[in-house]
Amino acid sequence: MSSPNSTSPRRLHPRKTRRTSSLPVDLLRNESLLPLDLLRNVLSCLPTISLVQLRSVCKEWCDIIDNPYFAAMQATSGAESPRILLISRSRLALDSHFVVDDEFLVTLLPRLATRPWLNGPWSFMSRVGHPLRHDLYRQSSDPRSPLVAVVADGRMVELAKDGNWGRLPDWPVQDRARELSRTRDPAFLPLRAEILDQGSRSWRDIVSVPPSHDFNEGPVFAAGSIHWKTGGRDQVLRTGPMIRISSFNLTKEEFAWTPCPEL
Amino acid sequence: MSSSSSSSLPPCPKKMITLKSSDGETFQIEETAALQSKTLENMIDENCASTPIPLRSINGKILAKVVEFCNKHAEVGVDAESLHAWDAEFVNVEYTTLFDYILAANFLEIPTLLDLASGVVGDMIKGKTPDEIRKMFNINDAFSPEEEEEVRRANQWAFE
Repeated sequence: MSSPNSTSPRRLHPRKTRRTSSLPVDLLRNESLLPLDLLRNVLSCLPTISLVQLRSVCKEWCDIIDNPYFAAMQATSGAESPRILLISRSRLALDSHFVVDDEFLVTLLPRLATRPWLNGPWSFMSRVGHPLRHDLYRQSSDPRSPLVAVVADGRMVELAKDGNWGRLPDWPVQDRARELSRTRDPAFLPLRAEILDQGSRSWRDIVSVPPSHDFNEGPVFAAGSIHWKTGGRDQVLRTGPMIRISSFNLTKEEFAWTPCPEL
Repeated sequence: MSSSSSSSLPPCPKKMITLKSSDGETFQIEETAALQSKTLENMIDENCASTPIPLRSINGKILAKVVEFCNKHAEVGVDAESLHAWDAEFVNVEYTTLFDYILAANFLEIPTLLDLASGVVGDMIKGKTPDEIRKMFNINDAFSPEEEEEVRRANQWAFE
């Protein structure tokens, strides 16, 4: 273990043994090197992908990161502007693809098992799936509609235009679960792509429609674009190779085909 | 250590204020440089800056650096690129010192220094494992292995 070679009076004194929680909370608090608000300040500079990993540092950090106010603070910090690309599948938005573009790290979020909620007091259309909190929704398919989060204890908060989370009237968790189990949406949703710019905290439609409904493999990030191997046929010619590479250029925010390498 | 600016002398004498660190060292700083601190600005506005200002939470070593930072950032005619390089050198220190910069910048309300040091600490955090971070921040109330596994599982995709 390397010890910090500092003459600062606030130097670290790493403990040899882990203290138990029987110690007074104040004592433990006093030894943390940065007060909570300054720690929050430091963490808000970090990209989402790092924060997700940092949740496992300790309970306190986890609480900071999970706090919706912090999420809004981090999203508007502007230090970086990570984007989330959402590609809605053709049916029921069951297989939505979420791609986090963050410092060139591209990750596919797990498939979401939630379907659009059409009934009930809030008529949730699509689950947006914030990486830090799994329960984040938009109230309709309109990208301009407010972002609503269901926090862990079932309370709901809405993201206001000023970037702050405001509390919505309570909606008991039981009701939510019942709505979920009995609603079904037979509507055919056309394939569309939207991007969440966390700097501005708003969804934008991508003008160029994803060229394929079949993203078989990927995503892989390379040369400024996200690439998927697709199995779709050419929409216009109805022919063409069965396997193609569909790409999303992060700078231009455009979908396009990438020619397959000649073998 | 008092700072001397190498910029050409303005016609009127510089107004200086005196800061006193927790360990009794005194530092002279030009009023124009001190204005980067909202805390000092308020004191200057309220005419409280004519006597040495005691800063009980900042020691001499850190206060010297903070004064240096304010002087540099008050210099005229420094292009953004060289200031950026100077900043990078300024924060090329142990993280414990960065914590002290953050605390001092917060107390004195110097947003440029606060953001600079916070950003560097953030960058340091980025490449570290939870264990290394717990050491760095002296965090003792870690999750139990079961709880940590639970938290990790919830965001498994981020660890792949």
